[in-house]
This record gives sequence, structure tokens and C-alpha cells, in this order.
Amino acid sequence: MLGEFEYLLISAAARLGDDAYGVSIRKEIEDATGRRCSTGALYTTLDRLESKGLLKTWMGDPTPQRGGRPKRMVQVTAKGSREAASFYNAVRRASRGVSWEATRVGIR
Amino acid sequence: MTPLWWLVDKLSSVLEANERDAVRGDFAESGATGGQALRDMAGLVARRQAALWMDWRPWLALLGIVVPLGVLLTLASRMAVSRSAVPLWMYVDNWTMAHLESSGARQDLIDTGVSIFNSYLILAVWSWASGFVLGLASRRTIPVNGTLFCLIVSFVGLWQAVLPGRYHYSNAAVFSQAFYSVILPLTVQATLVILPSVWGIHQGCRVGKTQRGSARFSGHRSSRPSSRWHCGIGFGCCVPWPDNEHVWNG
Repeated sequence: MLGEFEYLLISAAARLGDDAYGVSIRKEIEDATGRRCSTGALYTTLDRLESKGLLKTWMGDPTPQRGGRPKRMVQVTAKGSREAASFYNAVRRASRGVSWEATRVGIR
Repeated sequence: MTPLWWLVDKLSSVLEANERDAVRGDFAESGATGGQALRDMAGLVARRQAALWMDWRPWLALLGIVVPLGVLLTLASRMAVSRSAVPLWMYVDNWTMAHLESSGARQDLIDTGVSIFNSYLILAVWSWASGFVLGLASRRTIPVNGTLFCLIVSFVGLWQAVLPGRYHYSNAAVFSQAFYSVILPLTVQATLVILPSVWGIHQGCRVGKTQRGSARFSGHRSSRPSSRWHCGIGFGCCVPWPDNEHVWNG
């Protein structure tokens, strides 16, 4: 079972598709949660998920915008998608009938 | 480069090259300030270090190299200082030209000087070798193990220097002077133990990095750790220490 932050990271990477890398994933997570996402948490979680086979990462091409340094690109694997779906379904099942579940329409 | 970015740069050197580039690139792209970059880099390095300490090897380096060699080097340094303090005091505080006039006295002076020089040189070499072994065996955890090594050497040395009456009772005339009981031991500790150790750590890390790179390139990663340990243990423990008891009799 995924952890909360692992789920957020996989979801962000899946949403970003081909544009999933450190900065963009971090921004997605911060926008979604309204909380700061540290580089340490991001990169150590990326490693952990990659070692579990839930993500694939590779070094992209260097860009001038990044001072000539490459991006660490991220792609969700099929196993990662299944784990994320399983986590999401578990949260949905666990949320059934609770008071805040009824007000979820307010969430964008 | 501002001091904060210099610190970020130094901190990032403990990361793997790819990760370092990716993170530094992220900082550049997101327009992070020096403070933000430093906080993030420190957090990442701390997490990486914590993860490394889940393995048994850093603990082995800590208990097998850092603590014993740190204490041994401090004791060796204290011994070298104690042995050299009396002849130094005799020559420096009681200097007369008579030491140079007769050939026998001159020879004694040379012998004593060579003996003190040898003991200090071997202390420095031993310190360098200990640092080198530590850097080689514990390259990735060197921020923690290297700092602990220097702290142990510094604090044990300081404790020994300020603790009264441990080696002094038979040579009170010498060791009642602050120079021989505190300043000389701390100076030797700093210049012949800590500095060579730090240099050795730096060299060991560099060699470890090169070996790792070439082992990766040639595809022989698995053979590296055991040979490295044997080399390190042999190198660290087989450095001789001179028997300069005759210095006491001068």
C-alpha cells in the first residue's frame, strides 16, 4: 500500500505525463495540497518508488533555463498506476458515509 | 558566488553526480534563493545520510575506525608530546652555547632533534593514513564519520590537555608550564593529527571515488569492497611507532 506522499507524487507524475520531472512534480504537489514540498522528500521518495518499480526515471537533456543541467524525468509504470488506483479506491471506500465525503463537490 | 550558494555547492558534493545536477538544475529553474536552496539541499543531504546509516557498513566504520583510531591517535599524540617535552624544555629553556661546543653534546642535540622529528613525522603519517582509510572505507558517510572522527580527536585531545596531573608528576618542572602541558599538546594535536587526518580523508574519498568510477566502467563493482577493506585495515594498523625511550634519558 502506498503512503500519502507517494500517492501524491505518482498522481502528479501521471497528470504531467511527458513533462514530469523534479520542478513540475513539486509544483503540482504544492498546488494540490497547499503545502510546501521539500526537495529532500521529493527525491528520496522518487528513489523509493523507483526501487519498488512504481516509477521509471532517467536523466533528460540539459537546458539553458536550468544552467545547462539536465532534468530527472519521471514516468509512472503500469505497476505504479495499479498501486495508485488501489490506494485511491481504498481511500474512497474508507471515506464512504463520513461527513466530509458529502461535501467533496467543493473540491476542485 | 555568494556564501550561501558556496555552501549549497559544498553540500551537494556528497550527492551522486546525476542527482547533484538534477537538484542544482531544479534550483536554477525555480529561481530559488540561496537560503531556500541551502535549506532544501541540507534536507536532501540529511535524508540521504540517514538512509545510508540504515546499512551496517557505516556503523562498522564508526566502531572499527573512527572511535578506536581517533582515541589511539590522541594517545599517540599525547605520548609523542610527553616524550619530546622534557628534551625540548632542556634545550629551549636551558640553552647554552656549550650544547654546540663539544662534539658529544652536538651529537646528543642532533640525536634528540632527529628522534623528536621522527616521532612527530610518524604521528603525522599515521594520522594521514587513518584519515585515508576512513575516507576510502566510508566515502559516502564521510560527512558524519569524518566530523565524528575530528570531534573525537579534538575533544579527547582537549580533555587530556586540560586534565591536570596525568603525566606530569615526575617532570613537574616541565609540565607546570602551560606551554608544555597545554599549548604544545594542542598544537601537535591540531597540526600533526587533525590536519593530516582531514587531508587523508580528502585523499581517501578521492581515491574511493576514482576506484568506484573505474570499477563501474569496467563492470567489476562486486570485487571492490573486500579488497578496499583489506587494504584499509592493513594500511591503518601496520604503521610502526618508534621506540624513542632514549629521549627520556637525555
